[in-house]
Amino acid sequence: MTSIRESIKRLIEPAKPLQPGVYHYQAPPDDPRNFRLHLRIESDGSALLIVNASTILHLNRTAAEYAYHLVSQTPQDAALKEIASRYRVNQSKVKQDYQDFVDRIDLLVSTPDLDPITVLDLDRQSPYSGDISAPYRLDCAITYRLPEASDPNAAPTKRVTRELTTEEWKTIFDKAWSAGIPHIIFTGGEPTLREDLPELIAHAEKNGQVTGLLTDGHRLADKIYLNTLLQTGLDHLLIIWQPEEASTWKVLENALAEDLFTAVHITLTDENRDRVPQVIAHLAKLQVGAISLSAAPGLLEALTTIREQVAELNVSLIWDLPVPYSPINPVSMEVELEDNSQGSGRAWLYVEPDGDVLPAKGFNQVRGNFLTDPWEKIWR
Amino acid sequence: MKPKTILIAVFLLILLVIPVSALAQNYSFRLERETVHAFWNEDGTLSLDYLFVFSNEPGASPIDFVDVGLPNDNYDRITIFADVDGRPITDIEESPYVTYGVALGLENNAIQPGETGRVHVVVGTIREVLHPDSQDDNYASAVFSPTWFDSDFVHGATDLTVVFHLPAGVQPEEPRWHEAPPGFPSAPEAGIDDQGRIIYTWHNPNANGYTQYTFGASFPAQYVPADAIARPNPFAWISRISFEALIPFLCFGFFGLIFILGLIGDRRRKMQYLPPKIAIEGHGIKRGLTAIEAAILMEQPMDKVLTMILFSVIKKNAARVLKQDPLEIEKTEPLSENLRTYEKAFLEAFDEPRGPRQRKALQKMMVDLIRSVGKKMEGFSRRESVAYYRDIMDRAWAQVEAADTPEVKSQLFDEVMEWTMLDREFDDRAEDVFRTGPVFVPLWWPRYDPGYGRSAPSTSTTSRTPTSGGSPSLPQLPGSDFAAAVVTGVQNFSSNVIGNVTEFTSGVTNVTNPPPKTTSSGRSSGGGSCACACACAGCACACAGGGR
Repeated sequence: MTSIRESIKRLIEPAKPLQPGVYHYQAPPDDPRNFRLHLRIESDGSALLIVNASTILHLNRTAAEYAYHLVSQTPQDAALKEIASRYRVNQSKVKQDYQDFVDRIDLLVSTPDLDPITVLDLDRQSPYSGDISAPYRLDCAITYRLPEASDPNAAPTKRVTRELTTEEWKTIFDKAWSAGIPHIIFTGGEPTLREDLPELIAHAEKNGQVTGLLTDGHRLADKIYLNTLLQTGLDHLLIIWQPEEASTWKVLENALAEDLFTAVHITLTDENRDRVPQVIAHLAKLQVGAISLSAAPGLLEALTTIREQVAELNVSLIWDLPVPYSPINPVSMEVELEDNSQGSGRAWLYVEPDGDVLPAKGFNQVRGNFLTDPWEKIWR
Repeated sequence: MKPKTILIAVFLLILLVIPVSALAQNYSFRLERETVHAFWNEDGTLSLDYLFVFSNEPGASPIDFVDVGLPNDNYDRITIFADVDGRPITDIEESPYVTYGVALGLENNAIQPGETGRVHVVVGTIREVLHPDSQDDNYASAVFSPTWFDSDFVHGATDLTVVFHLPAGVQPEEPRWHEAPPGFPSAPEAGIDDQGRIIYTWHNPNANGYTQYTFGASFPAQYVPADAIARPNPFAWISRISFEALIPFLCFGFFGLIFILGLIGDRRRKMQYLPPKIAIEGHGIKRGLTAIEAAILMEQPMDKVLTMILFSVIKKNAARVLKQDPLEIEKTEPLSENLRTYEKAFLEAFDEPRGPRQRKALQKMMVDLIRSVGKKMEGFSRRESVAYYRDIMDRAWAQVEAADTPEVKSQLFDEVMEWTMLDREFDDRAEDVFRTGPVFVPLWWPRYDPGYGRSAPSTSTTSRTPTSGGSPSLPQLPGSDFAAAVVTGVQNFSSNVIGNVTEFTSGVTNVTNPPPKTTSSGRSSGGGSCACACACAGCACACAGGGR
């Protein structure tokens, strides 16, 4: 009787879009493409597919269903049957579209230097636009403490009266994962000053989140410590170039020798502008993964020249990580106002050491506390 | 007619009259705003005032009907009024698609694709809307869900506002609100309307148009007539069964019912299929490229790109041509500081003896240039950038063509020459532009054409009669000779420097965008190689663009 009831129910119950949720796929260790996919299905059935925590794809409802089966590794026949049973379409059409979808994602993953709009016939969407239910990334300043020799004004220590505990941060990562945030950046202050950093990274990785670390790198000179971080599954590293620290080069060489995507951030100032071209050339020689640039006000022309140099040395540029000094970066300068979509408060949120949420580092508008406030209050 | 034939005919007739959802239509719209005022009146009835703001998607079917759901069928049809953008809606009938409700036929005022329309609906009287409060017998419960639409048709966020106007006389401390649906503030805003009635307002700017949201409030039952509070009758549904609806079941029995339900259900329950669509986040136009970098982006032939670089270094007074055929170049020492990296590499290549070493050096320069352009394009749209630079090229020509005099034309051309060279039809167009007059050659021309001024063709320089202002005469060339000279430059490169253009290009593209390797499955995998194809043999191209 139950199966008859179920059959009747299936006959008359309308098919609904996929339930909102986050799904994750990591390529197996023997797959040379070494990629991760995060699929976040929104409440209207559309989805975000994030490739390697950096390429953001917006999918309509149909593409979201295809992505769901791709990420879930559903056998193709079962996926086609399921989709054909839910949509007013025949199976041969589904098969053709599904294969095309999978091929495009495969090519996007395999050839990151490809122009996806021209070659893969994708539409373009302005960065950080569209209806999304959560940001792409959470920048977690787990401490505002700095190394002893640092300029004490480099971190806003007066803003917070306490640091969250290990368990509290884990709760935040869990909450972020439930909300559909696939990427956690550890920053500060100097995040390596917290002894529980490896534990925190490991917890986020266990959730399925991509993790990155922003650091001045001084602790990474210790190979044992570096290895500890690598064992946690840390996905990427951004080292803040310290011109006065000779050990930065050693740290960088250690990091680059490992299987860890490493980038270097340089802030252009009047004091270092003459040295920076040499530094860039050296970084290119070391085959650093990417360079992040920002500049003090008044150095826009010099920044443009350095940006040219980075391209000519065939090094990738990144520009939207929560680096400490200036929001003036090469891309924000180039992008016209009508396309100057802001990621702060949309593509990323920033969590202070006490759990308070800001739209971005340095934007002192508290949206709530990630630990104690419901997600609906923080994300409005 | 035999009984069996009659049965089949009746069966077919029933199938024909079964209402099928609007399958032929392709509705797709946004419900930008839905605002509803629910007036819980002193006589126990409910009045509704709806405002819908629809944005119809381009390419979708016109919104010709709006189905408005109602709490039950105890409404007075005569109290329903509606308009679309202020124009009255006269076609108001019972809806065939919602269980209880009306269909508003917009007729000639249908909301067209790409347009926005405001639909206002007033329902004056709905009865049997109040129920006993489950927690307090002395309270009446008012629960209401605003109309929602099929998720197949509506998408995007909806700014949803629901306002309850409680019966007149209810005191501020008396009413209680019910738990709000997800996404709404847990407590509504409380206030007083212009009639002195207590109001509760729920608002969510990011709701959606396809979810049933339920709102409720309770107030002391004394403010409405006792018989207005409906006590549910568990057997009420029986009285609503019509004899006509029973006919198919009587005729065909249980299996006929299953068959019909299966037909209808299968079509109705499935969602509309739209082709999968993927949009990648990325910036649009990459501005600030040089004309040479734009040439790479636009996949210009390599011999032309090299000629453009030659003109560029000559204009910057960094080099001069000693001999055109075979091409020999001399650097100007010290090298100009404003040279680009590729220009420096270009000049260094000409330090090599003519032949394979020089070709190899030029290939390396091109590889580095292509990669550099690729890196600059990361995060930007190649397609939009190409369109942007093509527009610059068109505007450059337009500037030159619009010049009043040959002198101005020539001067403008000197300024924008590198951009006009992006034109694949450059030689024809240059000939057209300069057909009707001489070209006043730029000052750097002799550095490009060492024979200029020494030979004495019929088209050699002539002096103009000085004006009264005493302006000096400018050297000239007939327009066709000038255009030919530029084309000759390109040909010299291919014949004397790089040799076979296709072979030279292959040496470059084998490094910058090698063909993808195939796996045993037959599908291609990149493994880090670029899979784009250049538009033509002998073209430079940069693959990257868009995404990150």
